[in-house]
Amino acid sequence: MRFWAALLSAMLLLTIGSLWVYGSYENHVGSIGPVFLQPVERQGNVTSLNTVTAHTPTSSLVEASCNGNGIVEVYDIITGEQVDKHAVYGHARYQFVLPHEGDYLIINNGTDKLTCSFRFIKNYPTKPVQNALYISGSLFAILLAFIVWRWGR
Amino acid sequence: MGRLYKLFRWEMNDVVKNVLLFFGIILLGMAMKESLMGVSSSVRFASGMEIQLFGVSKASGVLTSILGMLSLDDVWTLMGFLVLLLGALTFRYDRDSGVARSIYSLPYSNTEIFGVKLLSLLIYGFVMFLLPFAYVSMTTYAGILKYLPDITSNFLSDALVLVIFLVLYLVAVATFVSLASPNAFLAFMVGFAVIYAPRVTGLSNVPPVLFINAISRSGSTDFTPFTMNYICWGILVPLALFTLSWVLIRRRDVV
Repeated sequence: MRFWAALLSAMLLLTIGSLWVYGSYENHVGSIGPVFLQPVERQGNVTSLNTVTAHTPTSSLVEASCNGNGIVEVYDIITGEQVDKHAVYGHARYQFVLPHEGDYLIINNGTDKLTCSFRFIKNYPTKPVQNALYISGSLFAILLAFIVWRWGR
Repeated sequence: MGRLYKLFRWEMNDVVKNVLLFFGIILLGMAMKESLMGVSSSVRFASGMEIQLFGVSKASGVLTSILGMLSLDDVWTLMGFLVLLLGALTFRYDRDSGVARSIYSLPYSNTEIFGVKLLSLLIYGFVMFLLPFAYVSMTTYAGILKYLPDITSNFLSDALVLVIFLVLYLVAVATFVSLASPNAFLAFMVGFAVIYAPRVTGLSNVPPVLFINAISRSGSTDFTPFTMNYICWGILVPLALFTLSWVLIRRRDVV
């Protein structure tokens, strides 16, 4: 009884703690770069390219700041889905959203060289993450309530 | 079986051990969660006829983050601390407080009491580490949950074997030191010295550093936890210490 009560209340507090972590992480500015993005080169049937893999633990609003000429493309690395595409001539500062936590691939699909830096200015947990936390938290709370209720008997 | 279960339940529901479990899960879980909160990047150069850019195996950021959670220094410092305290509470504190006199006079053999206490200590040790780990990694990456088994498949089994080795080692040291020492406080201090001396002096071929370094290497191509070095420290040494503790608990008077 007491073991389960300790276990469940710890897990409940861990859930609350996780939510609190997201609260303070929201405005935490992370940055990547500056990274040098070479254009995709094709010689015969050999392709060579520079790739940048970015990892974010939340969905993020990213501000990109690029110098040079080229096309910055961002892909979801697991599914290969394109998240963002932006042509840069000279200098560009623009924003895009990474839809969920995980890894993203950044490449330069243009013909000239680029230098980019990425600032992750807003970070929010995605809906599946919130659901997971709220549902598991409720579950822990209900089980804990059940145990405390049985305890009194 | 019923009477052993009674002893087991009693051992699992010890108040101070429960408080330690409570703080252990929260602190370990929060340390792991905090370690995930940050962006990272890696730059690569790819060249060839057909380049594989996408796929589950390319999610190296998620992979290193999850693997990183298992080899955090903070986490293992806390684990060492808590397991030693739990060991001292399980095997030594009851003797200090005099409760042991009544437990050991019950119709249980010393071996049975030792087995039950050890089982509860092992459960505490593993629950304290594995539960927060599983929970934090699954909730943090809930959006890509269905890809997680594929992402983690090539390192997770090796890493978990090493985690099991390390927890076994910690539990074994805690058990032996607690049974050999004259009081709980000394047991804790000696155990802490045994576990932390190699770390402070930079001996990397002795646990815990041996295993912590190995965990971060797991998943690389030529690495396997089933080499003599790891098995020796992760299974043979704990077994030897458990046997010694068993001999001690049978031979030594309850004082």
